[in-house]
Amino acid sequence: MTGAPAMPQEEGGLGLNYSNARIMVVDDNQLNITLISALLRKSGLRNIETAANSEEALHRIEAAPPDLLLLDIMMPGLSGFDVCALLRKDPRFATLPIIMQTALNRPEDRAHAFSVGATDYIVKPLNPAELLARVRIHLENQALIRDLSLYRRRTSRELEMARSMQIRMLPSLGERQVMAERCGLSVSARFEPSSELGGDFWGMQPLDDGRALVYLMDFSGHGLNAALNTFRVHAMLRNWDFQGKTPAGALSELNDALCPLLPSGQFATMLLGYFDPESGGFSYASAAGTAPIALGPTLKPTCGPNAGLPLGIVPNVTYDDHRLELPPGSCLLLYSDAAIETEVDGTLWGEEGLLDFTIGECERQMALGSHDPEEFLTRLSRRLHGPRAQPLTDDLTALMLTRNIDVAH
Amino acid sequence: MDYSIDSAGEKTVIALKGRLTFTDHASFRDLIKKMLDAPHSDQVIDLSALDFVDSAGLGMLLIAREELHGRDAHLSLAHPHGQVRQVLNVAHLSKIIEIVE
Repeated sequence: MTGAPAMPQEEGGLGLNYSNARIMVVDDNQLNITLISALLRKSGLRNIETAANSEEALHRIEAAPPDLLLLDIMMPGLSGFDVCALLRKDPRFATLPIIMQTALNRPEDRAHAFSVGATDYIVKPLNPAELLARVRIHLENQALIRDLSLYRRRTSRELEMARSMQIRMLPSLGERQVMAERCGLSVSARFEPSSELGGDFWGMQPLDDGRALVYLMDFSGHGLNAALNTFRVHAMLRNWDFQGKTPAGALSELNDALCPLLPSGQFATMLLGYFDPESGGFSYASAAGTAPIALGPTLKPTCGPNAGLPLGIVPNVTYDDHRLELPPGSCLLLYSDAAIETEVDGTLWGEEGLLDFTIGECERQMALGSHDPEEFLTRLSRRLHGPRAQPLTDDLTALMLTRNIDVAH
Repeated sequence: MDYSIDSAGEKTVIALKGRLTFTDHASFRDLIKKMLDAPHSDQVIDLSALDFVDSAGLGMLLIAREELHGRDAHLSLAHPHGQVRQVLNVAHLSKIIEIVE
């Protein structure tokens, strides 16, 4: 046992150093304890604790949990099997590496050890190289698991914070209230990112000239990089001067601003429009945004035109202006790709599916004598998720704009 | 997404099959590498067997176009149908990339 290989301080480039790892050796045979401890110390592990029986071991583990446990099986009182089973019942010790070391070498003993939760099994008489190799690999695994779960916890905390920032970036209920009072336009909204963060965002702003600006933007892809784009463009749009500009002119300027910012293969689709309370029209331009759907008591649901080059691909693009009439009490539905590119009942829903659904819901609400955009958006989301409430594969934003009947303008 | 590359004729023809989405990023990158190594500077992506493209997929087609342009090669798209054709139309893609119906 004297020729024990040294445990390297530099662990395979992983940068892990085990010399401070706390190892507890439990054995009722003092000679075994001495031998194992000496072996571990010689390999560079300095922090060795020992216990001569199960009760003492449990007591000390409770007081200060080790990083690894070398556990004898046959001991007076509680056996190693019992100790292992007890520890595994406690969530604090669920991942503690427990190596059983024993003279028992029948297949059923091994099976028993693993069935009570042992991590590994070494047969006495101990082979020094084998013991050290096993100790090392389990310490390494333990360190990696700790590292990963710390990283995971930190990442999900950070994503959660970013998500709440993203939600706060969207117009608040207060802002929507102001819009309803100043421009006679009520906005109901639904935002469901497919992962923690979304590549969609929308905004609105009452302009000094009395019009209401509304836009919906959808960055290509989803997840983190799409979400980062939403933050930077949101900051840009807050200070953008929309006064006196046509929707097509505004889109063209935005496109020129985005081209140098977005790398190849990333782009944004956008619908940008102004609602004019004086004329009751919604004039808009689209950079491959989805087709807006106008509907209302006197208005058969119709899709407006939406073709146009997405933003951020090539500069100097011209867009077309379009206009949809919104008589008092009528609505405008704006939505991101997920509302048409989701499979509903096994087939791609498409614009047709969404339009049919909208017509049906419109008739249903009219028959009930109600007008409830929030309920419509909830039912739309439910339809997209399907009867088994499947998660969506793309970010969903849906907005229902209602031109109020009593315009306080 | 599955693909095949045929360089036997006068042009290199890449046939895409299935769905081109967010999850195909790595394999599409490999495809672009192969396109850059292909013998012809005239290349066609045949979309007749492609059933679905999302925004990320559209982005990948744009990357392919740009990478080939960087090597003075020419890329065109051919025979889009269904949803793919609709997406290319809505995005006015024919303004920046040749689309053969």
